[in-house]
Amino acid sequence: MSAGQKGFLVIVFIVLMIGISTPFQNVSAPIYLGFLPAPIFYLLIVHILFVAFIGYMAFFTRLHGRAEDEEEFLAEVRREKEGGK
Amino acid sequence: MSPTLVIVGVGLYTILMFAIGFWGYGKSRPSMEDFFLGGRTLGLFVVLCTVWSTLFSAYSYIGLPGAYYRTGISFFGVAGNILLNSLCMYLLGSRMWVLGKKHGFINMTDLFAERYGSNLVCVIAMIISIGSLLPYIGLQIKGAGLTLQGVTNNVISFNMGLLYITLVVLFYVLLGGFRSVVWTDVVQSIIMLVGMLGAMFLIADKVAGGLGGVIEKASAISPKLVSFPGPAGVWTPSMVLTTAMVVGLGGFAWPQISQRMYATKRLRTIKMLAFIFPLAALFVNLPPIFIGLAGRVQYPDLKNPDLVFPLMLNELVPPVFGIIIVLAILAAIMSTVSGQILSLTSIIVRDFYVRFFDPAAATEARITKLSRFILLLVVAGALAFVFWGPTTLVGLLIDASGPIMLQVLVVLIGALYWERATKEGAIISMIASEFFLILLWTKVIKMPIGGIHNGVWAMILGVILFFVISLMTKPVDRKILDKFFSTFRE
Repeated sequence: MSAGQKGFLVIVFIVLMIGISTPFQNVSAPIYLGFLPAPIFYLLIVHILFVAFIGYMAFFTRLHGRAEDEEEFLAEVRREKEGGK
Repeated sequence: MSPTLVIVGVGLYTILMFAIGFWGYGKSRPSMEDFFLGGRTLGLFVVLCTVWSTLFSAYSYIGLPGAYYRTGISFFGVAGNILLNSLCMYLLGSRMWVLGKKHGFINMTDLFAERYGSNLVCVIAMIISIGSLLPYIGLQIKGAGLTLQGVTNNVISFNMGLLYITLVVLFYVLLGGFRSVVWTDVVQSIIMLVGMLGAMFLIADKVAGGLGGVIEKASAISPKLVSFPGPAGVWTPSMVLTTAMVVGLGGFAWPQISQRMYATKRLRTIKMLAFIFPLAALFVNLPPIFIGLAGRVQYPDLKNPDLVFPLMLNELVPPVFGIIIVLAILAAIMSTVSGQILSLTSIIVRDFYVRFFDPAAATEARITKLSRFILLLVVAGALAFVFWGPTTLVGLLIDASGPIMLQVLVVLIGALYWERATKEGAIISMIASEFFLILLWTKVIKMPIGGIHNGVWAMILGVILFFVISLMTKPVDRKILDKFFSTFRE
């Protein structure tokens, strides 16, 4: 992962943490979809964006290096275990 | 609710739990890896259910509606903890899985011993884990006794209820180990889900004609009930964020959660878990909002808001569905307790007995037999601690279970991401931050800035000490570092 990509992810993470901290204080209206008060609705949006952030990191970055190539990693582990017997 | 109906429902549920216990026993093989991790073969659905049901305890049913009754929707800010917990699953859980596959780790603590080249780091983390979990286990079992006593109007006494829960959980954990625990978790998750969603719709409909009606009526009582920072002004941005950090990050470091990262078959499963779990958690985190606020609408002057859900259960829900909710509460207790006692046993057996007294026996069948005996001691110890332990200490450990484990998480992050992290840094960081946490909790020290959770203050101290002392001390041996970090390089 390049330094630029890491920097971008850190900025997105900070923005999401601000979202989690409920900056929308003293807001009680409107009620969305007939049953979700505004603060809950906004928090759910942050929730979904955060999930997308985790999904992006998990499936579109290689944060765990060679281990990301799972089949090769498991084959390596098998070889090591067989070699150790 | 008719006691006979409760006894019949609980009886059928018990038979199901016993059947799964026997099934797990039939599938089990005599090794520690099998008894504690089910042979590392979990798929996505099963791991999702087991993490979900283990993380959510009876507090979700009793405590959360009470919290929403008191503070309105503002308590939902704390639900952000699930996002941070899931982030840990991906960032830390994935690496734990890789190292577990490669080196055979079973706990977070045995990973510490190897990574830091120090048994002392492992022992300190073990003591902290026991201190954090033991009273919690006892409290859950005690809560189950009270639940059964309450819903059957004393037909089942407190002692009988307590004995029942203890024996059922012990039966299936002792028989099938982790395999029985996770499959009972699957059944319990389904019961919990049906119970929680059903309760929400039934109660909201009865009290206010639906979910929207509950919000409108609560808003009419006080607009502060449907906004932040809530009626008492507690949930300011800094308090929401730091509490979510303590609960979410500390919650991942709980042995029963972090251990499940070793148990999956594939790395991809952990990634999917981190991705799906926050969405699945909404099914537990959203209903108590409507249940708690419906309680506020129905009974505006309750002296003890924690009783609001049991009260509505008795008065507003049809008896047949009430049984499902009672079973859901018992399921929530059992799934959490079974995960806790098994993971605590694995720590004591692997990181204490095997490490110090019998290193050659790590995979032998007799260790599995010994594990079953230790499991009995863990449950006995948990109950004894809660009933006869010093009240202040028990209260402190229960209140601070998440913050206590948060201090261990700092050392885990260092172990997995920072090659320069040393054993001296880890030891001093854990001891100093836990000690500082106790001083904050007992109000011996008061921080000058308000609105920040005590656990985060302690964590900040821990991070600084961990960083500075690690840089000041001799790095861990290069061979050990390569063993840990080579797989994570490109």
